[in-house]
Amino acid sequence: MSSANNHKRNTLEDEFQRRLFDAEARPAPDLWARIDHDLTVQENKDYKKRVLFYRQLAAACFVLFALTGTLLAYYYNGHLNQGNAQPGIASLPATKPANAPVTVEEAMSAYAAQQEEASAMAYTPVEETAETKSVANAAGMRQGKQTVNAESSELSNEPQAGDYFNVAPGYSPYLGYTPMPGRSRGYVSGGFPGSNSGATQGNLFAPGNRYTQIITWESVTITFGNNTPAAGQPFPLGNQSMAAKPKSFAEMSEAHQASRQQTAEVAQGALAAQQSKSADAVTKSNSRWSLNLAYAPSVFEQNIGLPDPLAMPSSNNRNMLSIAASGPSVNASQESFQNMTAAREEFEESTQPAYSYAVEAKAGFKLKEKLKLLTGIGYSESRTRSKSNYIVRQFWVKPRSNERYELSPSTFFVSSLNDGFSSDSVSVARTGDSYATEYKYRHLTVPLGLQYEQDINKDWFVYVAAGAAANFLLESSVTASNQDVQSVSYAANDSESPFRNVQFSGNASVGVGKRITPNLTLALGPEVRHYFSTLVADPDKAAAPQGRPYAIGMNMSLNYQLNSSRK
Amino acid sequence: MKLFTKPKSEEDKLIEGCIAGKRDMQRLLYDLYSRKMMAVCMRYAPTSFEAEDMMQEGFVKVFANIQNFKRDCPLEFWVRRIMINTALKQLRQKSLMTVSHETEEAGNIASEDVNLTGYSMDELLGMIQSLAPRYRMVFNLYAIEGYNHKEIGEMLGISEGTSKSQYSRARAILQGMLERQDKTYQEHVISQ
Repeated sequence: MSSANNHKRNTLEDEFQRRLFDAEARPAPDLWARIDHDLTVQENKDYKKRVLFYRQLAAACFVLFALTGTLLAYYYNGHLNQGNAQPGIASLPATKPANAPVTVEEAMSAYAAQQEEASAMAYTPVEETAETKSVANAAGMRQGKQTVNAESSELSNEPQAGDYFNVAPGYSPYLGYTPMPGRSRGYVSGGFPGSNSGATQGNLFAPGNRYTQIITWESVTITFGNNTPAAGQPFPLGNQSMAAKPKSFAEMSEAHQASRQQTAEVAQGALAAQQSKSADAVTKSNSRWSLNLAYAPSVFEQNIGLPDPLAMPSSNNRNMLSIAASGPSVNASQESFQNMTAAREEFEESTQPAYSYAVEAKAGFKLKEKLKLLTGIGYSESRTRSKSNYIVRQFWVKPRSNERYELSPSTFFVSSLNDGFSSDSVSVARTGDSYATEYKYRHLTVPLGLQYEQDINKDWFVYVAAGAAANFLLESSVTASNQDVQSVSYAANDSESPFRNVQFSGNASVGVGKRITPNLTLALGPEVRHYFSTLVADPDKAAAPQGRPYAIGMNMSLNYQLNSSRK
Repeated sequence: MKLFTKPKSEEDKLIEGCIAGKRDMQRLLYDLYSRKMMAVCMRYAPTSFEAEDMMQEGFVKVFANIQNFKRDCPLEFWVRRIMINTALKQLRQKSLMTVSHETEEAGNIASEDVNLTGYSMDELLGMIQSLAPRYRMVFNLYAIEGYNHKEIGEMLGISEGTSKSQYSRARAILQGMLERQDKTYQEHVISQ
């Protein structure tokens, strides 16, 4: 074989392929653990991305909710404050935008003109015919004794079925025309919203009265009210029904105006009485004291890192720039050093906030009209989680026998809270499977704060609150899911606890509130709580970098205004 | 009318478990292919440590992208292809793709009757690992994986001609190694 063909397949290639294509080799035993760790870190990254997305979504929803609520409140408030608003009158059904708005006065005038024209031509009461009776019965309407001839051909060119006429604000009767399909007739119906009480019977334009005008080519029948006598009986005198005499829309309009004024006067009187009662009630409940219950789910950032191996104290290689105090020797091998670096990176990547919350019961004292002082007692539970593949193995050497014995393996986090590992030698080792670690801090809190409230309308208000709290540590724990790894828990005043027993925090909140009853309000808004000092009592002695923790959450509070008349 | 669906194979169940992120299924897939893939990585990497790094990165990629596996070929081929791509990427990142000065003496005569039965797998792997990175890559892709020079050129970003010449050189070096091994073996037998 010449060298020119040395790039082509031959027996050499076939032999190598036969021997090596399906060859197998044994990988290192810990290779799966390394892959598992990588997968865990990757999952945590994905989880963090998802959490971030949901947080942003929740924030956006809240902002949208608050904005919409505020706008609605303003809008609603504006309508309530309109001088000509009438209580008990509902709004008009929606009209078709394609049709030009027509006021009911215009419609009535047009119809009156039409009636006059019809009267000029012929206004002769006629006996009820079988045909008209059957038509009216078929339409489910009551008939009067007298009928009116009308030119209804004009109507067929006017509105379409289901159309409603707009009316001026302040009163909201409705008026509609519906042609009967396939027939030369239709009917106009109208009415005044509201319930028809017995007291308003006889008043044509009282709320709840309805009228229907059946229009045929031959005759028009109009009925009013729902107290029409039985068929065949004459309508009683004095009842303003069209049975006595058909009324034009012009007459109806005048009567309507009078009725409107009467209704408005009655309504204004009732409103004034109601306002007077409300004012009395508010005056009675205008105590300075209130009770407040608050619940704030939150995410908690403990702000504690893991030490940089380069900055860790060592008797062999002392780093003068180390922030940690010098401790006993740390016999970190090259592998242990690498593991420390990896554990640190892993901790930064995998640490995530867990469900945390705070509850508070407070008493409020109104300092000014809108300013309130709040204080009481509370409880908070703050948690953080992380996943790890590393443990810290610590060794002691017995002075005389030089015998070496090992302490229970612990998390890197716990080991780094004290003064640079207090054992004789330390190594960071990789575990077979990753394990979860939960960091929990329970505090008894005594809050003191100010809250300022600004009314949006009579039901809604916005608030801004700020204050400080003393937090007394009840318990702190670092719990590992792996039973081989030592979990720690410190009670209050535990002398071995590296955590601070008392620390102060500042908190601020802003949000919206709703008055459920005159005495009870519900408020909702984001809250930030920032601690003024580190969780660890002496951060200078800790190998790990210590920051000030904080929590971001959603404050939900119920406030009950005490009634002074009860005292 | 009831439609008959093809029953899911074990491989399908394995893939679906991995897509769902079930760690036990991922472990199963790893156990299934780890030995073969380790041998693949060892052919591309200069040392077993680097081969393990390649394999670690390769398997993480496998699990991260297994939902993109179209099932138009056996899963093993797809995993193998990911391992090879990972090896190429790692070598490229470490700038080992440049051809170093080859000190190895090339064989002059191409033997038509090559028989590797007498060689252990470690010896064969040792020979391949001793090649310069680019020669090793081209030799692996052409002789063992079965890609043609055009495909290799596209994978490595070189021309087809360059691939051919580099393969020719790699082959000659390997032949030289084999010849020397045979010579040593024969001398050893004669001396006994």
